[in-house]
Amino acid sequence: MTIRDIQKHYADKTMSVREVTDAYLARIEKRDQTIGAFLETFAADARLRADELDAADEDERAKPLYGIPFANKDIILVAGKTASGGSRILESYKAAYSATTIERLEAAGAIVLGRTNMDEFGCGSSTESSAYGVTKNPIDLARVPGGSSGGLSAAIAAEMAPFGIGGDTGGSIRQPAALCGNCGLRPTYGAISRYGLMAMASSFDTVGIMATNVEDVASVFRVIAGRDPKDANSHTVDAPLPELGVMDVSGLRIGVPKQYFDDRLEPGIVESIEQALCAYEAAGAVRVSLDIPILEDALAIYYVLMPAEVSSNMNRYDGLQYGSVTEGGDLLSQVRATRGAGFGDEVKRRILLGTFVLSAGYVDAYYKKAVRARHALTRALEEAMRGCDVIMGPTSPTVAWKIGEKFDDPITMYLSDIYTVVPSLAGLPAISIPCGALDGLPIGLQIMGRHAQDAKVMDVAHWLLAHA
Amino acid sequence: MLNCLEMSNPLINIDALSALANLEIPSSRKAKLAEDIGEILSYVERLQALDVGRQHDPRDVRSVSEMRNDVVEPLAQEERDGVVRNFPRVSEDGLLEAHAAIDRDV
Repeated sequence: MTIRDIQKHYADKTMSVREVTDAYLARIEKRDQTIGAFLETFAADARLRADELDAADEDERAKPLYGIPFANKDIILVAGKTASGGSRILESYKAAYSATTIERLEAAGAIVLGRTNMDEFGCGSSTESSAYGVTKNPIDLARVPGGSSGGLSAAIAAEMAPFGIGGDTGGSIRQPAALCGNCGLRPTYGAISRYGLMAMASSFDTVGIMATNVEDVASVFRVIAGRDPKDANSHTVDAPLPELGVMDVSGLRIGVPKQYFDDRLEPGIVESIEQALCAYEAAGAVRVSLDIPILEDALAIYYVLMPAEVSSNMNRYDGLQYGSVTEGGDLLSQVRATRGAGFGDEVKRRILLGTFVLSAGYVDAYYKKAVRARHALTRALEEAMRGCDVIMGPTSPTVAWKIGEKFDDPITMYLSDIYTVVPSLAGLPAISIPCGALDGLPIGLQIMGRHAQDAKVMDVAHWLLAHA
Repeated sequence: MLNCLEMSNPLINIDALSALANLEIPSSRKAKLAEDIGEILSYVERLQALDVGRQHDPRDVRSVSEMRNDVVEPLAQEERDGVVRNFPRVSEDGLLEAHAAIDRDV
């Protein structure tokens, strides 16, 4: 069911909030044993809240997400609940407060169903790097759901939740959305508060939204976006109009960088992207060929800056104030032992890599060079976008791959982020929407917009799903 | 400078890096981690050929930070209790315990 379907049930009085909530919890009970999307459900609290909402007055019923259940990636804090970040080091951690996004959703009438599996602290592209097991892609259980929000995406694809929220740093909402056939938005950097989102790489971190369709993404965006004094980087951008799909794409200028289409991209994906572009062109949109050479370096820039920030952010996990502790003698020995036992291999790899690129003697050659390159890329994109409204291309160079296929080869795994890191580096809004399939496996189209034009990105995306 | 790497021939010193990062690495994982990090550094080496100038341009930072006033705001008791409950060691009289940080030899 979409959010709109559920709202229709409430308006027609054909289902109660409790019945909808029970239906989702029953669905999780039935399907999640084979998929492994949820780490925990908050069934008792969800039912209690559903009963309260059923007994609520008209004012409560008029709220924008009244009685809509959702899934929460286990990196966003819900007061009183375990929040592990997919890591063993936070196995025992219980959130002392709720994230701003959770507070805003609950104030709008939404009900949190539970927390979903993810790559540890967002470090991964397949959800194989979770300390709590691998989540499977509901479309083909032998394949990964993408990552790091693989649990969230699998939950939505298997109809265990109508929507969900989670962190998107380098593609963690968009790439799993693409691999499971969902819609996933990364907002403009700062458009949604990160208060209560565990930090991974702070200059890239955003809270993204995932659902089965763009209208639902927009409904959630309207509720959770906007300035929050608790996140100094947050600001308010224009929200999408209540009714999407009224836009006329005639004259819309769609930038298509030639750097997106090389031999790393599966040929079947090229065909689907081309078909989507043709649909826009047939309605009067104009294709603008772009040549942005620095896009070839986007992944390299990201894989210097992100680990540097990860190595810094992960320093807070020392077992002194919270989390699991491994006893090891004196203070420093205990901290080292705690971190050694608590972090998985991928997080360790990124901490060590980040430590290296920030270390004396290498910081100029790696970190500072990458900072300048990031700015050069941002300028190049801004220049390119003067001549176009949006930039389109694939979300992922491949469809969902077999579990284990890339796990021992970090570079191959990182290459799956090659397109999603581009808007992340520039802080621009981008959405992934389904645009066909290859051997039955979903393909994602990534639509990137200008700074603060999240509403336009959603409008353009919705047009394709409504008209193609 | 860490003697970790020759730019043209990456040789990662995992012991030096893990000491800097306060991160214990089991001996059995060191070789694989060094190999992986060497490969990633070889991949990002392409940035050395990129001409992006040497000076940082302050206009590059599109800062949207809007800082709050530095004023202490009271924390709800429930939130405070939640923070304290997460402490690994709390004494019987409610003190938060940790190893001594003095005499740290780094």
